[in-house]
Amino acid sequence: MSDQTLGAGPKRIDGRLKVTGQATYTADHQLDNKAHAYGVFSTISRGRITGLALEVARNMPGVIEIFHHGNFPALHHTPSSMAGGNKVEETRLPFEDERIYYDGQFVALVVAERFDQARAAAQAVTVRYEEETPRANLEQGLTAHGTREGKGNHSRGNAKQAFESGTHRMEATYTTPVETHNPMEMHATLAHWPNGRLQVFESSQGVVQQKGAMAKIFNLAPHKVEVISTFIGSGFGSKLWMWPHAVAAAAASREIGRPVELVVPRSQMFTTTGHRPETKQTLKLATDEQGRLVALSHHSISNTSCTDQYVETCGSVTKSLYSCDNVSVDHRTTQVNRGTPTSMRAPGAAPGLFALESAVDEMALAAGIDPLTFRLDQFADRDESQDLPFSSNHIRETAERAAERFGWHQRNPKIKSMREGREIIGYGMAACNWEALKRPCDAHVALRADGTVYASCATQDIGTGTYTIVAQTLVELTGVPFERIEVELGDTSYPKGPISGGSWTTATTLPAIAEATRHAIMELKTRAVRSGGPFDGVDVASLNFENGVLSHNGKQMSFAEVLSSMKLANAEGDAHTEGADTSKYSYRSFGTHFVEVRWDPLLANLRVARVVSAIDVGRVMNEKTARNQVEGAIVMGLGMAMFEHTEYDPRTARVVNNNYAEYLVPVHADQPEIDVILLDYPDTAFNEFGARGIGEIGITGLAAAVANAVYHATGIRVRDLPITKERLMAGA
Amino acid sequence: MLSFTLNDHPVQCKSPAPETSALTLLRTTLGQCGTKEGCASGDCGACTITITSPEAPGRYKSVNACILPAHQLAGCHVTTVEGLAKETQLHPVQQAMVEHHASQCGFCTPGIVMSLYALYENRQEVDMVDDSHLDHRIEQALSGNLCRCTGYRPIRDAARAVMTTPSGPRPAQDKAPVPPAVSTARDYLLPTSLSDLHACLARHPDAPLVAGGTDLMVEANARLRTFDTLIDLTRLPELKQIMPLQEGWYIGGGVTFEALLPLAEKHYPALAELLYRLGSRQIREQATVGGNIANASPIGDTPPIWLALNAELILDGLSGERRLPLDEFFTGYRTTVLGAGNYIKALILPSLARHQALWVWKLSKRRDDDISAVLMAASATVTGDRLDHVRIAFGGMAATPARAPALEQVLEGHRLTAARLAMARQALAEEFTPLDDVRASSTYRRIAAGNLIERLYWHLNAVPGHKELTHA
Ligand SMILES: Cc1cc2nc3c(=O)[nH]c(=O)nc-3n(C[C@H](O)[C@H](O)[C@H](O)COP(=O)(O)OP(=O)(O)OC[C@H]3O[C@@H](n4cnc5c(N)ncnc54)[C@H](O)[C@@H]3O)c2cc1C
Ligand code: FES
Ligand code: FES
Repeated sequence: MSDQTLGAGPKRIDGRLKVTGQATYTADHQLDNKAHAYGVFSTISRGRITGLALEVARNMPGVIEIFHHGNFPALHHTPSSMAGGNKVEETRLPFEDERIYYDGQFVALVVAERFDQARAAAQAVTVRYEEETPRANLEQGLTAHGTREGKGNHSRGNAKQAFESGTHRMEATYTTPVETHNPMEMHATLAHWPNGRLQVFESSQGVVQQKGAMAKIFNLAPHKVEVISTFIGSGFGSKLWMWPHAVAAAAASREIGRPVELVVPRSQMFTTTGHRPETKQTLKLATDEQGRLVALSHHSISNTSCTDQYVETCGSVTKSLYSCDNVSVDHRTTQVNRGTPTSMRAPGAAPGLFALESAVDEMALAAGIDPLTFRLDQFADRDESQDLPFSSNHIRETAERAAERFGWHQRNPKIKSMREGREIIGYGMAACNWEALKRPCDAHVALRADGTVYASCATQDIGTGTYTIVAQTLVELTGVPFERIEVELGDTSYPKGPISGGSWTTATTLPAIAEATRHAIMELKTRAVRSGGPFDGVDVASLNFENGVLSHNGKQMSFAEVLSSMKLANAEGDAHTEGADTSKYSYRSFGTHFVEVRWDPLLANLRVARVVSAIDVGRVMNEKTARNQVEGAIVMGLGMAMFEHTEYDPRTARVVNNNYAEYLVPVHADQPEIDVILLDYPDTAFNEFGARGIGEIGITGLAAAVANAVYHATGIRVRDLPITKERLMAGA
Repeated sequence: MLSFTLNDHPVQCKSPAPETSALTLLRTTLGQCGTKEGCASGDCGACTITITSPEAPGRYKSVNACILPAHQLAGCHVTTVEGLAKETQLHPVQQAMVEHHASQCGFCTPGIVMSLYALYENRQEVDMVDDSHLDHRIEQALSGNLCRCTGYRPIRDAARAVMTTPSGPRPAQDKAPVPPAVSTARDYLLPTSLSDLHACLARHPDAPLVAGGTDLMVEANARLRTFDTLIDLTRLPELKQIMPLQEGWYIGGGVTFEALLPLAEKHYPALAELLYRLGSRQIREQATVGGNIANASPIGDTPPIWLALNAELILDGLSGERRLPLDEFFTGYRTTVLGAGNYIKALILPSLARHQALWVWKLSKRRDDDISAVLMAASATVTGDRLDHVRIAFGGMAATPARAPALEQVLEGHRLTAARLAMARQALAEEFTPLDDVRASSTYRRIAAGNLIERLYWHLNAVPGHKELTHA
């Protein structure tokens, strides 16, 4: 295999565009006659609008129009079905009525010639409200509304009974706060209506879904909508489903008859574009005398909004990670006055594994067993929740190899026992786990007469390297070098591709690309053997295609020559591939994190010094992008463990720290020494490439590994994220 | 009219409104969209560009365009991410970024490329005595750039690679003609001499002053503040002077923290350690000594240090020149004795006496690019174990940066023993009722401040040879 093909990790094909500033993100597009929109966002969290004073704003320079619930065009709801290709997370339309459900809800939209004019006029709009008492957090929601049934529940055996008769028991409640995705690029929409068609540039992880939703909302035939997302400044889930700003921009553009650009300001990235909800999780574990798990129950409540139901499935991993006969997993929600939550990197599993893997640590200690040994002894060998074998599972190897590399065996289990200077050192570990999914996908490939190979698919590259991996696949299958490959993604005019989420883009897209490539090669051969073709009369089956060259009995011709000789522009192939068959296997990815923390008790100064993680995601398609995904996820997990926390004023339900100065994410200096071990066992039961996705697994379990290490260093068991200095100081 | 050079091309444009940022000018007026906006508050670095000012033509400053007043570009050589590659030849920094896969979604990339470009082009400044020194410089250069995707390691690898690869002579950009410093705006005044400045103050006594803009522009962006007139202090050579005096140092009010660093590294190492953690490289290139004092924030990092060192201010302007101990400068939450039409001309910083020590410890949630929760600056002469001339000041504990006289008294003339430590903690607890906000709770601040005293205790009672950490 050459350096340019799968596994070896060639340079990313989009790298050059990105380092020179040529990669065009949504707000960089220039369209003639573009107008700018800026939102007026609600400053209360529950109630209704009783009046809008627009006169001053209307007369300000450059103002074209101001939209609000009194004059916004009537639109339709989307059924919001993922299978139907029209899902959104927040089903209520912007400006639908005068009701206010959350802080930061759109109450008006000012459209002006220039951005600064729109923003100044938006500032000049005054809104009168009738305010009602909001539900500002999970506890307030529970008091006011109680809970609702969630989804994804599971039960086997009798967890309650087994817990009561267990020898060693642990029971604890863990909480995780609201987190905000905060991708570096803010949400943005540029919409216009050339010839009655709607074309939208959007920073989107799911152009196909957005197209479907837009068609429903604006009552258009699907082919009249095009959504384009060539480059996106990442999303981490917040850009999977379209949010109200996109509808507002598209409607405004239709009404004023000009292109409209709307960028969501950083402050409102905390309100109206989704968040990871707050969770409260109760874990009950019991073992028998030998320390074998006999009961495992994981009951969680997460917040949803007052308009939609979103469930954070915290117990999704709990069902199958450990072998246990009596398991109960339950998810419930409660309504609060926040925008609708949405998936954030490893939804369910990220907060869920914080709780589960902290609890397992507590259980192991209660049973007097080393946490690594405890886990090695009890990792499940098959998916007991579905009674299916795993397609491929090397979690024990991940734990053993990472433990070895980390030096777990030098750990003195006694609390506060390991020191260096003034610092106390703590070691902790946790498992990580994520489902492997594969969805239906279409793709198009063409071998072209100029010697290049072209592929297109509507799926997006959100920074994870999809452009590169698709190109690599083409290189591998056609033998054409990297420089002669062209890949186009992120446009609904290309064949339908999946949303970039759930770590399934690679597993879903590559089989379709491969299939389309084979079809294109077959098309080339079929043409070549026809009468008048260069291989006239040759049996297709005996015609060989290798390194871009057709050959038979010593006669060789490159595909470019073949096509040119027949005056053909190209040989094309289209493909549709199906999702994974989930009836025979349970498909999951596995791994283990080991973390070293250092703690200075005098200053309550805590830092994560070292992380060693081993990950089993099937075949590693591109060593470099894969490692990078895991490292990025680990650092984000560190943010989750130690900093990230969207804070709401308990009286007003308004976000307090709605900026990068106060919503802290890890910076350069926070990065620990990270060592990632990538196992490379192709999972061919899953797909022909043997590759499961890698984008999310790295964040799962990390916060628990930190919490477990913190316990080892300090003796303080922090069950509420983030692990702040205040919490440690209060517990000390 | 505003003119400057952008990526080797002369630019002349209509004078923007005074509060316009360089980022808006680039992206909107000039349609140069390579530079990104991620926050408009100086926190993320996506908008990083470099500027070379007429006074220091060889030096590349990395700055946050989103909070840089557009008028400060006048006469400068401005480089953005679009300007590095020559034809198809990538700049070595860009090449390294590609080779090390240092870009995922790529939205932070233009800013990171520009931060590294500044580091690379100023590499003569970087004495790479050893690896850890280089790492420190890289960390400093990237301290103001957030990346949400990569986890930073590949970016650091790219930086290391490009900084350790021998390189040819510097590119031709330096020789590009720099236009005269023209900004003819009537509402953004760029005086170039003190007499000029005084004339501006007399005409517009109520006009806000702007230096680095790292406070003022953040506020303008966040609150959509507009200004009738701004008076800019960045073109006044007198305000940028650093001079030795009999009693210490004369530090002009317009000296940036980056410009202060060499002096600090040499004479006040504890101050240097603090400066490394003040904001980020981009902030330090712009933020001034005078701005940090004048804005009178209770969590400004340097005022407690100046208080602990018993510094004085030289004020000038419509009320005439006067000299004032810093002790008398702050009057309440964000208020000072300065008065309209006056400015901080200089800070007089006493030298450290024999046996005088300075300790500065800053606590914040994150290591870099974060505002203090609590900062303690303490100074004393240490003879044997005895502390004399004790001056201790805190940030984050009161409405203004404040000394702790009761605490000082407890320590004055004594050894800091365990018993005295208990007394000191007690005195401190009685002295302050700290703030409760998103950065830290009141309780945390109180306990943390007490712990800082305890840290001083350990510091003074350290077993010789015992490895002591120098800062948090
Ligand atoms: C991302 C970010 C991080 C930051 N981190 C820190 C930090 O870690 N620690 C910290 O202390 N600060 C921090 N700051 C705040 C800020 O950088 C400092 O306060 C800085 O010193 C202000 O100086 P400036 O020249 O930029 O002030 P400007 O914004 O130009 O001015 C601030 C105020 O001071 C007045 N002023 C300026 N110069 C003078 C003068 N010579 N005489 C009289 N009045 C004057 C102005 O009129 C204005 O009211 C941060 C800011 C940002 C945006
Ligand atoms: S846009 Fe974030 S620092 Fe300027
Ligand atoms: S690469 Fe996405 S933010 Fe840095």
